[in-house]
Amino acid sequence: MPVNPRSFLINTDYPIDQVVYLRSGLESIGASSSGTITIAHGLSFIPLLGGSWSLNSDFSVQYEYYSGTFPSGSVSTNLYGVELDITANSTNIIIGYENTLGATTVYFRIFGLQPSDSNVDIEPTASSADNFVIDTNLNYTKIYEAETIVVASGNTYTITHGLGYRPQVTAWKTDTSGFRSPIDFQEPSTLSFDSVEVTTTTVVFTIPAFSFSNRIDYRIYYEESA
Amino acid sequence: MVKPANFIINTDYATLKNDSSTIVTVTFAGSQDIPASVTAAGSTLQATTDVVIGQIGSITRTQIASSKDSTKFRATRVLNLRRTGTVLASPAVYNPVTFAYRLNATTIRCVYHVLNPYSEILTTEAANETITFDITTFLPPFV
Repeated sequence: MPVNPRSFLINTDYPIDQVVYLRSGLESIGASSSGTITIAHGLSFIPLLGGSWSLNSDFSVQYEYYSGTFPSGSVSTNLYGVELDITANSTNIIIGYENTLGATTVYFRIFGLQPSDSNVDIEPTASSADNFVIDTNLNYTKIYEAETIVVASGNTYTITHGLGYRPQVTAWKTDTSGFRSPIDFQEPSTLSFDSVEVTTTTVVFTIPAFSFSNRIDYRIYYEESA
Repeated sequence: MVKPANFIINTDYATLKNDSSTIVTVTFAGSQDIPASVTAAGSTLQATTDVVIGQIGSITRTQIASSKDSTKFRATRVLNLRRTGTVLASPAVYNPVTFAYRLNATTIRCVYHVLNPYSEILTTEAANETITFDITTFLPPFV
């Protein structure tokens, strides 16, 4: 019998995101500096990464990757005062940082999802039942479609979802050197950045002519955007 | 130990829990003069809207659209625009940046930010532009 997936907290017909990698840490960074923090992830695939970072150990104020304190100390060249980005290749997670302010310590949290074309056993990320419970007070985004596509430079790829509303979408790009990162910067003219356009009927991925991306991993969720 | 009243299923893998959602608009007025980029602090203009959303530690998932292309929401954290104003009465391209960032523990600030890259006064496009931020928040495993 058909059901409305938005009406159920848990329904085994509709999978939810499973976090297969977790990592947290900290790093001291110098004033007006840039660099990278490299972490071996130990996975047999390149994870789909997300997470947050903070200037406080308690994460009372936290930022997503590709975001940070605003404004920067040099508005003509940097949007953020301190910004962290994140990418991964087959062996490592690489956190890039750019600091236009004084010396500080950055605290980072990383979670990783498994790409749809990976089919390997993975150690559970839950160490005890206390940590990860499905709470009936909360909803969980349910996956409508999780796929991997290849889009040649200068082309678009359209997915017709037919949901009738604008769903939540997350996407990651992989460049020709094997680095995978969230798609977080876009411009309508698609001159420079890979684009993910969401409508009530379609999701359109656009890869600019001179982009180095050649693979997109995406997740379309049953949940509507706001 | 956990309280059975609070949950129905344990998971072997951590999950991303839905938290909250909202729609925020930011309007940038047209025909504004931005001083020449002589000093970094004086060469920008911003329009902002603040919204209290999400629990402490929540992460945002954002879709952004401009009133000049209102049917096209893009799943992104930063949307770069390309607009044409005037400098010394001649057309001049500039690049507004729209984004949402965490202002403090409870507030997200949505921003329309313009930097004047020219050494003369930049007058922005004549029409007002409204940016719609469609923000959902979710709780990562660390929270």
